[in-house]
Amino acid sequence: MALLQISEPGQSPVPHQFKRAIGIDLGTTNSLVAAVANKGGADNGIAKVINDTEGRAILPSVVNYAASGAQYVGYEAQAIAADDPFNTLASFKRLMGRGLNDVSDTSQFQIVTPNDALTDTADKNDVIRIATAAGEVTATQASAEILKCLTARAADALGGAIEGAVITVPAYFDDAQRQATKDAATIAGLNVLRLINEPTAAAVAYGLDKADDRYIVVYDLGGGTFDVSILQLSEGVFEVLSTGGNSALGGDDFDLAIVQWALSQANISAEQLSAQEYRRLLIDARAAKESLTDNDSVTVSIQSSSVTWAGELTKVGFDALIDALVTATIAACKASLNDADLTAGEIADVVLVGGSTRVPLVREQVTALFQQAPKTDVDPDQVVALGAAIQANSLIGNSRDSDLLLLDVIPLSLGIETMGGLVEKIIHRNTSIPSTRAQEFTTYKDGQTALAVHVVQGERDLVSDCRSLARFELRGIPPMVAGAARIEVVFNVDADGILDVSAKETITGVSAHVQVKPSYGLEESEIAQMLKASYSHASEDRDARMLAEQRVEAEGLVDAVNMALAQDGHLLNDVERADIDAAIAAVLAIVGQSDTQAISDAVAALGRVTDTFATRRMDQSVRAALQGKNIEDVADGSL
Amino acid sequence: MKLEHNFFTLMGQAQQFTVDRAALKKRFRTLQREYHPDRFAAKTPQEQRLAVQFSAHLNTAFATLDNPVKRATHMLELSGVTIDHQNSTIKDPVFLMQQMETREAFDDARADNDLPALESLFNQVNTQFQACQQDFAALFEASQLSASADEKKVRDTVGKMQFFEKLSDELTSLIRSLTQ
Repeated sequence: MALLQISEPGQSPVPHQFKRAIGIDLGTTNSLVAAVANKGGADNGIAKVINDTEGRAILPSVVNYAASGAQYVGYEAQAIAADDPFNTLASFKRLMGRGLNDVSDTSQFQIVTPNDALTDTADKNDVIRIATAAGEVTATQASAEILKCLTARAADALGGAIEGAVITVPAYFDDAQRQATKDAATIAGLNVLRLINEPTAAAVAYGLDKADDRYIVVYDLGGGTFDVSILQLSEGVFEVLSTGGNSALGGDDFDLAIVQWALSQANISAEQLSAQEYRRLLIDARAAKESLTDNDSVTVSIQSSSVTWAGELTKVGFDALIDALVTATIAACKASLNDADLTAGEIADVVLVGGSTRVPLVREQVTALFQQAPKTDVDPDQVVALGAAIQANSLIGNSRDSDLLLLDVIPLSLGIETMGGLVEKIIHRNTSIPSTRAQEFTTYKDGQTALAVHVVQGERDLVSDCRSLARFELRGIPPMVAGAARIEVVFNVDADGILDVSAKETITGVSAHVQVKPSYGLEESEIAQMLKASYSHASEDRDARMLAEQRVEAEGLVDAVNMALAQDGHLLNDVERADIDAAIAAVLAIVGQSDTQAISDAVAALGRVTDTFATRRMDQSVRAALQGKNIEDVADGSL
Repeated sequence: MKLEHNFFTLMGQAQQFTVDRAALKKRFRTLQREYHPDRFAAKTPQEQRLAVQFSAHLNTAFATLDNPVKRATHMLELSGVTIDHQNSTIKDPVFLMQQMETREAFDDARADNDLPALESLFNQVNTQFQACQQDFAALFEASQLSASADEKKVRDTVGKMQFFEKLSDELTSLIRSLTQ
């Protein structure tokens, strides 16, 4: 693995080594983890969901923070929820990367926690913190608990530490929500290979990335939310054309419809049942719903201290109960088609996600709208996690099949605030990522030495209609007349759709200082603190692990540089070569010692002196592709 | 990191206004397949960082060559002529008159939801857009801005292309919304 040099197909310089990579569907109601099995094993490269020790695939996205400081996750937390509702968080994905300003509708966090024990944050733009018996927690931390639990499950099943993960996020997640998801992984000590969009993952699970150009609809009916996404697959690029849905409509509403029906048939009100009796009816209703997928009728019963009732619910009767709900999802599909400027007839594939898509009426109505039967071969509860696992396996380098390349676009435009509260867009929506865009600004007052930059995301023209992402202050601009300073603001969006902004004054070359304050995220130091607190091991163990990881990185980089020097040393002049040799020697001199920070510094120094070299090699390989070879040769992989 | 600034060279295209779109897409995808950050997800942080930069550069190069106005602007930049799209004004009076008439016809057709009129306007605008692109292509000889081409004419031609592109985009989305 030479520095930025791709091996020719089939000529891997290092013997192929299987790495443990997982895909995680971090859902609002439920989460799952999946992995592609090692080739040569019984499952031979097939993605499979990893069950817990009791054979359950699903981990409910619920976390309980007990006064003892212990945390309970998943089914355990769900079991405690009834007795300890105030310290139990559910559906916290709704609050990821959100400030109080975003959640004007308090019902949004009523779903997360029944109390209104939200910490009074002085700044309404700050991330939402929920008071529990174990102290303040954020949605990011609760998500980290889910990630930790799933990662531990996968490590047990796969027989060793997990080396990388792909985590799925809704297509409409903005920068702050994506960043919060990555922060959760950092707190969980998980290496994120990539965040990918949930609908894209579902399409990958069906192998649609290898299909011809087409339009795909992903219909995702979860427990409490409904999302529809329209994707365009164009020459291997998945682009999200539109998204829509209803964040308060899901399969749980079907259960509630059956409960309401049973209560009215039995002629009693919900208040006449104890909490326990009501819960039993709800479970019964869910079982009835599931039973009606394969049967024409089912018996529903209510047993309470005062009433005993049993009645027959037919499929026709059930369809009538949920008809309005299903129709609402179809209306959302039509709206999304409109947004994408498409008609139902132009859709080539319909992919179903979420357990509630098993309900026959849902399938009938989806079929009627799109004039075709939806894809149902892959378990709709697992399809997103499976797609993520396939992508994780490819990214970590296990898959020889290098055909899978998802090129993504940015879902919402990025811009900055200009005079009068207007937005100047710097990177437009649907721009391919990664993306770099630089824009020049200047001062508007004589002698101005600082410039405030406000970064926003959204399609509207007014700052107040867009989402605030960050505020920057560029200080130390030398005093000049208005309009003389040349301040270059650079937007970088990485392959996860996460933004990084930097600014500098270019005329004087005076290095100016940029301060970044994330509007809705956690501070870097806070994440580090949470990460530290999350280690269950003694600090010596942690230090040992960090040292070991740093040594692996150091040795890997030295190997890569040496291999690159052997091949392309001629691209360097004597001075450059001497600098690199010295930096290598510095790394080798220190790698055997136990000063983690010193090794890290030496590695960073080697990285810096080889930057130019790596660029020249990349340039060379691009040029080589143009000289004496036509594009077909290049496409054959001889670049 | 110094990356190839000439997008034609990077994308394996002759430096001329007419591009082979199929070859351009193929070359873009071949390079992304090699250098996209996904290919370095399990490599060193330095390699990941460089891959992000290079892949972003490829995205810019493709987007530039794929769009007539951006492509024209890039060709001029390579010839040492910079265009400030926001502050450039077209001084051709005949064109300005035509432009006002086209705008009026557009506004009338939009007010009346007159689909046939909009479609005919769309065809007319695109014909003019094409002609304008041919004018621009003719200003170049052997990858160079020809000596006879005066700078004002060059700027005006790009300005006109920009005008037609914008109008064409507006017409496309309006026609789509009316045919739903």
